[in-house]
Amino acid sequence: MKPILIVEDEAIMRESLQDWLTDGGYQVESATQGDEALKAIEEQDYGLLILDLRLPGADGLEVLRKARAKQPQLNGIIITAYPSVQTAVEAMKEGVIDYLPKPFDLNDLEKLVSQTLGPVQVEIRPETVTCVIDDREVEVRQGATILEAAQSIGIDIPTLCHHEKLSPYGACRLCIVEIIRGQRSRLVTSCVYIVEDGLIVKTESEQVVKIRKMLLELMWARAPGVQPLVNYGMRYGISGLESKGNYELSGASETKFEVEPNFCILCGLCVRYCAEVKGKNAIGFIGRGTEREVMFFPEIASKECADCKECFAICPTGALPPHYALIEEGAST
Amino acid sequence: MGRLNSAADLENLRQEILAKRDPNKPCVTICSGTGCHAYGSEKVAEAFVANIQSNGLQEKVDIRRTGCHGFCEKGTLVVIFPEEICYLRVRSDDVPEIVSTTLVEKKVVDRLLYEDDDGQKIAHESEIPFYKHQSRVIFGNNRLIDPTNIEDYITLGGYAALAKALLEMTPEEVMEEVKESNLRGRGGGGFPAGRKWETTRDAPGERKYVIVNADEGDPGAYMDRSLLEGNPHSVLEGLIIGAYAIGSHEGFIYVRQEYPLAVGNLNIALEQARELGLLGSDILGSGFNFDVKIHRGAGAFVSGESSALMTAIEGRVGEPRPKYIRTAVSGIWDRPSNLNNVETWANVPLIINNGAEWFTNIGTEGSKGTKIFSLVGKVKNTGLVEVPMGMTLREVIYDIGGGIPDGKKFKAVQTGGPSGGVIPDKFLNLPVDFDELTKVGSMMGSGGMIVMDEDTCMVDVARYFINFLAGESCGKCLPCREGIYQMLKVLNRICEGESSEEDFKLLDEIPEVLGDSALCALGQTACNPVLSTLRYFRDEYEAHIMKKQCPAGVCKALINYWIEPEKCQACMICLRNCPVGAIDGGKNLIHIIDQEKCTKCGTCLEVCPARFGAITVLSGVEVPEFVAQGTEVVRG
Repeated sequence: MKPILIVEDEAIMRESLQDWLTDGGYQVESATQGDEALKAIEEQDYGLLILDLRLPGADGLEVLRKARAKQPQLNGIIITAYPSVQTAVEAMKEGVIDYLPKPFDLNDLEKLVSQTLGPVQVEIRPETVTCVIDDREVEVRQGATILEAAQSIGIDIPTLCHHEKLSPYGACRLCIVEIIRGQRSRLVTSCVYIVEDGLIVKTESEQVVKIRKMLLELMWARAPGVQPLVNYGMRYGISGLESKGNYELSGASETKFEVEPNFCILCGLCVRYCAEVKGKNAIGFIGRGTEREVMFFPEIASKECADCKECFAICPTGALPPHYALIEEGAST
Repeated sequence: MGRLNSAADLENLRQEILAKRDPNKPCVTICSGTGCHAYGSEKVAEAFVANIQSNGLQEKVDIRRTGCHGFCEKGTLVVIFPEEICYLRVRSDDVPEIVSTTLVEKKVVDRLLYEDDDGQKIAHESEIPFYKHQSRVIFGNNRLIDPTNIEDYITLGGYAALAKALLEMTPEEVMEEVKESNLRGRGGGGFPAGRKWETTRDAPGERKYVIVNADEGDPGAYMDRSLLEGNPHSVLEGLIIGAYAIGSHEGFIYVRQEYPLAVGNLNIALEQARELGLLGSDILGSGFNFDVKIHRGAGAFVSGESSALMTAIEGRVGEPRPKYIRTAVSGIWDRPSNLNNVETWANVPLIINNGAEWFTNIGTEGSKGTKIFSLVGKVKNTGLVEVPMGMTLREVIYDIGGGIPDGKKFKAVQTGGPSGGVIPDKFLNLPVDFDELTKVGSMMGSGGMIVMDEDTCMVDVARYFINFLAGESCGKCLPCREGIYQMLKVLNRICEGESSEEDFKLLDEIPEVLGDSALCALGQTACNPVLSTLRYFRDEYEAHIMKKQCPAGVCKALINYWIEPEKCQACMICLRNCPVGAIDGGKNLIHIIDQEKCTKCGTCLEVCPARFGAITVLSGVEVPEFVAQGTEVVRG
């Protein structure tokens, strides 16, 4: 892909544009003056020019005109703090892709850039790394987490807060594993730890299992009988956690900690799903420590949730619908 | 004052200010730090203004409101220069006498002076034991500076280190100097600052940030607050120098919303520094650009954790993030971000001015320089103290702190804040530095030092800190949220006499799991108060759990107040003062506490005249059967 040239005399604007687009994966160069830009265009083939209208030296439109005289296919976007009908018309006559009055949303600009140059080709890294998980050698792409590497060979590391569609959250800590490098071993959270070449991982070491058992018992005190805890309780043979029925029958728990249920495990799947997949942020956390809870924000939820409710399906405990019902009740009274 | 464009401009300005000032002109400095402010320092200052005017001295005497002097126990503090006469516990009614006696007649007001244990009066600040044993290289200027006036800071050589760094040294040389000084982070971890700077400098990315961590949240700690309030320019100067070494052009000061005076003085300081061209573009004509924004924290202890702090600066909820990449490489908006605590930054100008060698001559092998502690709790001289690393706990607590009040016995000192631990009397000769404190199971932390006497229950102390942390856990990760809560429940059971030996097992298991699995340092170290009290005071836990006894007589559920019949003089004082009417008795009739009614408030113990000493706190024993009601007193 050919690089982008930003021609802008104002330093803050120029740098933030350059940072933004560089972060987006584009190759970006910049010039501060019209003449400087023309010189750069002579030396290098650009895919797109982003031009400020008012520039010292030649102005933005003039730069574009001269550049296109040599390279008719060259695209341009004009940005300006002084929009007027006249310059807009002139720009359109020059065949610019768009004419953006400042301030504008950098996301909009990035969309335009992507439409013009095509989406950034995600750099395919051929490099892979190899690690050993529970005595089995695994080859994974560079950048994969231990959890992903384990899943790729069918090793199921317990987790309450991980979801393949969502960014790693590292909150439940159940996916803790032991890694060994040389003589030293260390506990790390597998959903966020990136695999390095030669890493040795034990997913069920004695210490790891001990920690998981206590974490499950701690969580059980808040959410007794919820399905994921029952499943893991059975897997690790934790007395009192093997069956939902036990808790419901006796109303008490045989476990270490006194039960004070609210049935939400605070895994944050609903919160992240709404923010990352739906882009709505209709649900979030309030409070801290044991006061933390999920909450639908009435201002947003009343508009967005009625037709969606996709978070209900992602909730592993079934504790979410009652939270939503509170909002609906609030709205009807 | 115009813009300063060179080192010569700065020096000229300093000379101009000095020329305006007569070193022999009397100057009344009034400590206006947080402690003295609460005592009413503003009223004292106003009284000085009024009295000096009514005596017609306004041309002859200067008045300066300064930052915290440190001797907070004795506020409001007033020091009169050039003689450095130090008056303690000054109230506004004392001011007319000070003005007429000291400023007019040039005599000392004896009754406001420090009095030592032998009744000797001490007039000069530097001779008071509290000050005499300190080395106040960072904190000492607080008492000379009006923090809202940049001229005061410049007079003392302020910003000379910045001029030296920017105009005479390369960024690499500045970095080398700080690395050689072996300055370690004063915020908690004690990580070498120079190495952290280097990581950020070498991390990929053009835009880098430098940050001041002023989210001081340890209970009882206020040294960062007092530095920011009293000498904001020293922190700012350090930050700009650091930015230059690292190659950063943008900085943040993350300061607690609860520190309004610090925020106010910082804003003034930034404004004044910008006006002089000490901040902004082309600083001192060097071509280096740097500016700072103040970010006010919304009052969460966890926001002092570096990744949580940076998340908060980004405008999101201040919760730690789980990545295995250091914030020095990927911090605010995933850009390299170097975070140091207030006191660490304030050390930087000193190191540049005096050289790394000077700095390494102070302190111990592994810990160089001085450290400011907030010395609080059961100690005579509460306040902020600055001592060279390696001074023993005994010197800090007894020589500077004056020992334990009311003739009580020292029991332990808690250092390092909620993540730290308690240190018992057998380690009183321990030199205080990063490594020695860690060896005995505590830590330096940011410099909190809470002294405890024999009346302190160590289980109750652990419960206090765990309760604090239960309220400050952000709740994101399971072990911290639920584990601290369960730990608190265990401690509550122990203090309430409802525990069993099973709880001993949890006291071991919960800390282990939390230490291994919590997301950030808050959770990982949360159980330290329990572990260190268990380590040195296991017998107290055993007494609580097995014998249902609180040896210090603190845990209400485990104690009874009892009137010793042989000592009761039937004076009716406790009977009248008992807020729930739980004391039976009458004239000439021995008083009895009705244990059913008693709420264990301790009022009777407080009011019983010391010469009788008839009230006893019983714990772990049955309240003795007593003589029938209405037994008459036998007076000896």
